[in-house]
Amino acid sequence: MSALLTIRDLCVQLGGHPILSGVNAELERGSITAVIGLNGAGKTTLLRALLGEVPRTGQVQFHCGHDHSRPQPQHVGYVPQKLRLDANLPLSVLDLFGLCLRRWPLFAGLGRRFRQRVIDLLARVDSAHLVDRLVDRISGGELQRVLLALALEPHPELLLLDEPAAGERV
Amino acid sequence: MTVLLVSHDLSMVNRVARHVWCLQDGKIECQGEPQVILTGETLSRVFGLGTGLFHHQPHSH
Repeated sequence: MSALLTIRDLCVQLGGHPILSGVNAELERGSITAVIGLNGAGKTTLLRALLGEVPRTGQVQFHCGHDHSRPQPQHVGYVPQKLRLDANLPLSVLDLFGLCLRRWPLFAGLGRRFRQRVIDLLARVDSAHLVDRLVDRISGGELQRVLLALALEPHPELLLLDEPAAGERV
Repeated sequence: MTVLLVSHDLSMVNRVARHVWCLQDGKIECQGEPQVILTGETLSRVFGLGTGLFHHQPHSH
């Protein structure tokens, strides 16, 4: 099977410290690849480097014909391990989708059609019941499913998941 | 769709992944299929001594 992504001599330094030091790999198209390693090995930084969120050197080449110099949601979906939001922010799951998917500010209102669209997206991950819940009041596993529903809209070519099972309730 | 996931859950990795990249000190120390990579020898090298993955076969009653 062909490669979707080729990584050559990828290096990342953060705060003057080397985090990634010459990563070479090919990501097989249509497959699931897992990155394992101890804390601090550079796993999350690798995902962020592929997203272009951290300064990097080396080559990250996509073989899909799209311009990935600035990754777009329709090409790369990302589910972080946690959200970096103020815990006191009264933000509902519906609001979160509005912030991410709509061009208008939240105070313009979201409307019935958009609400139904969000319910349909959440239903893909069995989470339609979370639509009106506050983001800081749902469990880590529920939040990951919400973020997964967001990452799957629109259907991305590459999905990056950071610790997908970590927030699941046992 | 192609998926790249980061995980500490080796059982889940063994269950779902077709390929595994072992990251150590900012480099891919080894990579391959889970059956090849998730062995006691490799995991001991990447995670430290005394690490292994046990394949559990559910009992039939």
